[in-house]
Parts: sequence; structure tokens; C-alpha cells
Amino acid sequence: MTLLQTFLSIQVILYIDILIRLFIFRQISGLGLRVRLIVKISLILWGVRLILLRSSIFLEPFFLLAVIPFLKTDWNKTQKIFYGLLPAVISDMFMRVIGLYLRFLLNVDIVTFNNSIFFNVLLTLLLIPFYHYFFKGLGVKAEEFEIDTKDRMVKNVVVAMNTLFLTYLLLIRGNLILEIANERNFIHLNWDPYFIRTNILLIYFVLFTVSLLFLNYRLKEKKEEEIQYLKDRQLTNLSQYSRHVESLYRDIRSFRHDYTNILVSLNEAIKAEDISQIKSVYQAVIADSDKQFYNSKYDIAELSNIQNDAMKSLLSAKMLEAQNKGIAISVEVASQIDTPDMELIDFITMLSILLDNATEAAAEVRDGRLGFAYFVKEDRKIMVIENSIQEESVEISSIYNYGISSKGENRGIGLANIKTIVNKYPNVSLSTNSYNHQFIQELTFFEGNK
Amino acid sequence: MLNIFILEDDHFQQARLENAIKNCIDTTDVKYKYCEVFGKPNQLLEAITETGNHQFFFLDIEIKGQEKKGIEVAREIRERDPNAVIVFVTTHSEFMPVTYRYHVSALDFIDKGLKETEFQEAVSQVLEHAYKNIPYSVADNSFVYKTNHSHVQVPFNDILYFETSPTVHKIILRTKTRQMEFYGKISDIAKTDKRLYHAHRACVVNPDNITRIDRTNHIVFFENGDSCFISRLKQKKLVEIMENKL
Repeated sequence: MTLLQTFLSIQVILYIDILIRLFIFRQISGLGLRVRLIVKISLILWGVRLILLRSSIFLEPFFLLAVIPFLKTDWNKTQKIFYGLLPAVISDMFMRVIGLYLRFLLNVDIVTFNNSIFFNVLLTLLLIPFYHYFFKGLGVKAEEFEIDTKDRMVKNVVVAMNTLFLTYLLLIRGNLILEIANERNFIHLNWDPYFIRTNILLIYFVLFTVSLLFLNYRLKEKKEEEIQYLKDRQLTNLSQYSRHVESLYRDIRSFRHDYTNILVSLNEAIKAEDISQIKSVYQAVIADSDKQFYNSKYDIAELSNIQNDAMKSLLSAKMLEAQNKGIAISVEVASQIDTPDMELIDFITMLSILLDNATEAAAEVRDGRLGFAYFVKEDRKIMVIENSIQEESVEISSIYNYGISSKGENRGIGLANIKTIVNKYPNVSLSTNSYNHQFIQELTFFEGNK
Repeated sequence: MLNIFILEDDHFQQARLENAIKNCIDTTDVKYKYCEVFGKPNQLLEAITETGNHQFFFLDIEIKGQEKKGIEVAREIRERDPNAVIVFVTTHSEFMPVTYRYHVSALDFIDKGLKETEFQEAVSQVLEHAYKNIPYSVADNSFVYKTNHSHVQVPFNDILYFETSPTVHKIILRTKTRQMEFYGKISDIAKTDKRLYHAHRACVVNPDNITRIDRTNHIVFFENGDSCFISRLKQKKLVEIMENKL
């Protein structure tokens, strides 16, 4: 092979390596990066690597850190470092482990191995299945690897892992540079850099595996805790709901009791053919008797059409809470209906955020209103949450930015969460509408393609 | 002039509503050409001969002994006539304003339990509203986009622009009052309606609602202050389209 050919094939391998790293990054970070964007980034990184030549050995693992600020993320520093370094560590560490194993298996010495294009290609290609089965074997789902640094334990582990990544990359790459310098006789080492590197690799590989397992365990445990918490809440809400329905039933029973009395006296008056008494009985009691059922607390009874208990209990809790704040509520659930075709926890989170926001905004308005409607129209389920607002209308493009909100930080973060959830489901669309002192959130769950 | 159709099976209620309508005609400038009460849904549906926003329907939701409820009647009317005015006259417990607005674009609900004066006021209000709106008849102007994952329907005149979302395969639609994000392809959107213009790889605009084009920086502006980029090659054609409109 000519020098040019070797150079070109090495460049191709390097490019594929960058590409693989970016795809690992895409999977782990959960950012829905477009393939086109990934290709663009990979070309730029590849170009930078070409310009930097040898010195890129040291800098190249940190490239992603420089890319992340250009992406739209809501990560803090710890998360940025974690997601930025993990792909480089995975690719570097795993390739070295595979290389070690291959050399042992095929009995090839390091110099031949490093200089062989064939082995380099093989190494790069084997990285994908190794990464896949390594994560699978550990029971770690890369797509669900959302690290939430609000949990102290998770944060500590992630910070420790970040340190691990940094020291690993610095040690390994520093060691490589020393080796190169040694080979070129710039310096003289009386120890074997390759031997040291292999030891660093093995120690860090064990540490990496253990901490990854622990992090995964903690994340799962946290998720379970959250689910347990939601279940407990649901139980409380559900019993509150049933107490409410019981009180409505008592109202109706006492009305039925009164009603019988009224009918008896009416009957007497009719028998006596006393028109004036009939009139007075009617005016006094019957005329407005159904008005007491106009109270919006009876609207909650509409919720009986909702089949899912979690949704029913959440709605009743939030609606009663709004009512206690003096907001006029209305609930429309016209017929039997179940939750839409999505993860229940996502749906409940979304519903809860939307209702909290609506209640918060409506509470600031005199005679505030909060309306909930959920129904099926043709091939889709539609959920509408309306509330009154102080302003004529809300500037919609601004409220979805992270952290920015006209109603303090939380609301903005809430809406950003909703966007993140909605974006996971292609069949869910979110529409936000605001006019005439109203704010309307409309979620459409398209179920036509079942 | 209005054509008024009433669906109501109870004789007392019929008389009450008719009275309220008569009072409204006497006291306001609302005029009608036709006013008829029906006890059965099918009779009412058969009696409809015209379409348009002068067709006015008062519908009761619960009709005794009839399979077809008021809501189905409303749905059939709506299928034939997107502009007819539908008002439900019903008991409070059957109020579903939001649901029926989405299903059949019902204008309003009137509560049978209202006291005489309030009932009269409610009836007059909807009739006057409909009567005033007759000259502003608009053709059925919906923009409809349907795929395996989404179904979008909005009035075309409200559309400002569509743009690709930062999320893969999603599109953001901006109308005069709302923002909507759904699953779709921007190039398909451009093909859906000829009046739309594919101004940029990532943006499809409604030329009707553009307020200004910044020709040097290649930006189009909309009435709410939003803007989007336009590719150099497509700018000339868009300027032409807009000049032809003026």
C-alpha cells in the first residue's frame, strides 16, 4: 500500500469512529438529533482532527464538550461533562478492550496490530456490537439513561464518573504521547508505556463497569420510588374522590326526601283544587329546586366516565383543589373514555403540569374559570384545558423556552417538560391558543393508525 | 334573513321557544323568512333545503322515543353545511360547551331552566349575533392535513406559517392565535394547499398574512411580529405573488 492509501484508509476509519461516537451520544443523551446534523458535526470534527494532526490524540476525546453548547439542551455543567465524555470513553475504552482480547486470541503483537489497517477496521466495526451487548448484558438501557442530578446520590455518582472519565482520558492519551515521544527519542523512558496503559485500561474498565451498574441501579430505584409515590398519591386522591361522590350522593338523597314531602303536599293541594296553594308550593320549593345541582361540584361526577383510576383520581384532586381556590370549574367527559395510547406515567405527568398551570393562572383572575374536556372525535382523542388569564393573550412563542415564564421559573420548566414528553410520541400533537383573556391547551392523540 | 329550525318534542317547550323568538323579532331588527318547529329529527333534516350561515338551528339534545339524539342531528347538519348556526337548548346537566364546539362547532348552549327574562335574553342574543353575521359569509376555508400520525384542521386565513421543529419529524404551525406542534413533513405541507408558498427549506408561509419582506436580509415578517427566512431563489416569486394580491 502506498502512503497515500494508508493515510486515506486511516482517515476513513477515524471518520467512522467519530460517527459511531456521535450515534452513541445521540442514544445516551436522548436528544433527537437529526442524522443530517450528525453527519455535519462529524465532518466538522473530522476536519478539525485533520488540521490538528498528532496533537489531536490528546484533544480529540474532548471534542464533544465543544459541540454540546451549540445544541439545544437544558443540561447543567455536570450533565454536559457526563454526556460529552461518555461516548469518547466508551469508544476508547471498549476499542482497547476488544483490541487486547483480539491480540490475545489471534496471538498478534502490538506493533503488527497497530499498523494493520485490517485490524483497525475490525476494531472499529466490532465496537458497535460490543457496546450494544455490553449495555444489554449489564441490563442498562442506553435510551433511558436520563441522569437526573437533582437526586444527591445520582449527582455524586455522576461527578465521580466524570472524574473517572477525565483522569482516564488524560492518563491514556498522555501515556500515548509519552510513548510516541519515546519512540522518536525525544525522551527516554525506562518503563514500558504500553504495559502501564494496559493496566490503566483494566483498572478503569472495572471501575467504569461498577459505577455504571451502580448508577443504573440508582436510577431504576429512583424511578420505582417515583412510581410508588405516584401510586400513594393516587390512592389518597381516589379516596378523596370517593368521599366527594358520597357527599354528592347524600345531597341527592336529602333532595329526594324533600321531594317526596313536596309531592305529598302538592297532591293534597290538587285534591282540594286549591290553585293558590299549588302555586305557592311550586314557587316556594320546586321552581328553583334543581338550581342547587347547578353547583359545579356536581361536574366532578362527570369523571365517572373516565376508565383509568389514576387519571380519574388526579383530575378530581386537581379540580377540587381549583374549586377550593374559588375558581369556577367545569368538567366535560361526554362518554366512557380511557387514557390515550402512551405511557401512563408520561400522560399523568403532562396532565398534572397542565392542570397546575391552569389553576395557578386562573387563581390570579377575579371570577377565574378552569375547564376540562376530554372526548373522542373520529380517529382521535382530544383533551382541552382552558383557563382564564389576566392579560388579553399570552405570547406563546416565549413560554416554551426553558426556564423562561411569565409566571416564574417553574411554569416554564413545566411546559418544557410537556414538550419533551410530547416529542417522544409522534401521534401526539400539542396546540396552544390564547385570545380573549383565555389560555387554551389542546392535546390531540391520534389513534387512527392502530 | 334567517331560516329558523327548532327541534323540540315537548309542546310547552315548543311554545316557550317560539314565543321567545317572536318577542325577539318584535323588539330587535332580526328578520326571518322561515321558522318551523319539528318534533322528530328526521322531519327536521328533510325540511332543510338551503345551506349557509343564515340557516339557524335550535336543537334539544334529549328527544323522547327517538334513536337519533340532538347531537347526531347537529352532526348531520354540520356535514351538509359547514356554516349553519347551531344552538343547543337543553337542561343544564347536559351542558358540554367545549365538547360540542369541537364536534359540531355549536355556537352556544341555552339552559331551559333559565327564568323567563334570562331565557328571552339568551335567545335574542344568539339570534342577533347570527343575523348580524349573515353578510360576513365565508366559504369553507379549512386547511386540512392528515397523515398516519396526525390530523390538523385550522381556518386557512388564520395560518401564518409552518416551520420545522427542533424535534425530528415534527412541524410547528403558527396561526394568528395559536401554536401547534405535530408530526409531519414540511414538503408535504407545501403540496397540500396551492395557496401556501414553500419559502425556505424549513419554512412554508401563507402569503396572505405576510406584512413585510426584508429583501436585503431575506426575511419575511408576519402580523404578530414573528419572522422566518426565505431563500434567495424563492424571494422574487413571493414578491410577485404578494404584488398580484394587492
